Amino acid sequence: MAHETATALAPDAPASPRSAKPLQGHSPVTPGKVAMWFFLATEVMFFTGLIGTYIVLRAGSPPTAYSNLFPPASAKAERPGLVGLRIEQPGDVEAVARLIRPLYEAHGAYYEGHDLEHLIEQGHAITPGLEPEKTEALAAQLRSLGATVEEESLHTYAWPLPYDTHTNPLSIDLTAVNTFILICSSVTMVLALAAIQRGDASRMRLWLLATIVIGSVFLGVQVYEYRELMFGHVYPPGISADGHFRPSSSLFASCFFTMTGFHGAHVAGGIISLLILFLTALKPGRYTQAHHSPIELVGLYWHFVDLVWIILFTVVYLI
Amino acid sequence: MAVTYATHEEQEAAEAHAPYIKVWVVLLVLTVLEYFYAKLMAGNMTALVLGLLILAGIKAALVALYFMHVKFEGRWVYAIMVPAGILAAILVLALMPDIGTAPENPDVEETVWSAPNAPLGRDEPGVRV
Repeated sequence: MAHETATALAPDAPASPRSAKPLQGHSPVTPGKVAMWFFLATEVMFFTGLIGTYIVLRAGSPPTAYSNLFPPASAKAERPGLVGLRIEQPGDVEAVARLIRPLYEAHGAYYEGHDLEHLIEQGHAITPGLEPEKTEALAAQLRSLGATVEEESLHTYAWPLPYDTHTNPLSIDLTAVNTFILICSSVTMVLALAAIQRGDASRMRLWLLATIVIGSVFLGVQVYEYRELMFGHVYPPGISADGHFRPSSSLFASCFFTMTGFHGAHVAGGIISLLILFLTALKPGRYTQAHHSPIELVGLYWHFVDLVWIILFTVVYLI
Repeated sequence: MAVTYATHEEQEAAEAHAPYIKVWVVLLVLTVLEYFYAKLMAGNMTALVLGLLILAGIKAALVALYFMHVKFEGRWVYAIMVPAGILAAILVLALMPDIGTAPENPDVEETVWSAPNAPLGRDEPGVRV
């Protein structure tokens, strides 16, 4: 249909004296393609709104909103000179947890169940900031329980920095691989379109299937990342007051889940569209060299989702 | 930027034989470059932001030009996308004075900084000092 429409719109028929002029400019445009680009324009506004708001919120974040010793947005991080203790070797885990749990709770960090024990075992536990003399007394008590501790002075930030394990739980390594995966899916998508543009329907089906599989892997990795952040890992108080990185943990967390969540929903929508496309493409002759507009339109959407992820990965994870 | 084609068939033929694999390789190289650049420049925020935004911009442009075929389309695509981008940017910039550059809360300074030895809230139970 797309091709027919394009041909119908092409000003090469001698309909008027103007058409006798040699054709200048580009080839005719199909209404479907224009509609898709208009839809993508609304998507540009949507994602620019999200990313732009993230940048604005980050710019307006107070300089002590995040710290290595206190939960996000704690007013206690505004007091300089405090010192915490990093528990490197736990010794008697149960006794150490019993000793420092009330201290955490007094500073607004509440670990449920055995989360605090897990945090101590992993070597990620860091006590809230105290005056240096109180820290020394606490260090002596922890050492008497067999723990090895290291003093850590208070560092504050307006926003969690990449690679800072005290304030930022995001795995750049995992997401860099996932970005690579999504880029690969964009290539398979464009190769599917190129195949049908050359009239090779069977290769088009293969590339479509590859896009669905690779796109699903991307989504699977994102689900795994969410699960680890929200339930799997236990994080120090600088990341979250309850040890899990959830939308309610901090402004950074809510921004992260909003942006990546909406992007993930777009990827899911793309996979469903691709699946429908693939199933309809199984019918011989459904898409041909002359008629393949749906593949082009879904492809445009899929590449746009890839493009948005390139920006999101840079802005949210790397900067 | 946009290349012109006389017919739809001509445009499709150009799209069908575009250097997609080359673009893919460049995208992968740029992603790896981004990854290591972010690691190396972690301490220098200005260089980090500038470098990464340039790399991301190149990657996004490659995806748009080759995979989304903007290179093969007419200028009408820009006529749709540029106003949308400008409107979205205006919306974001309008938020900046209220949120992005909000003055610091003077109350916080008063209550915390003027009393450096004040207790941190509740006593720290479990710590014998």
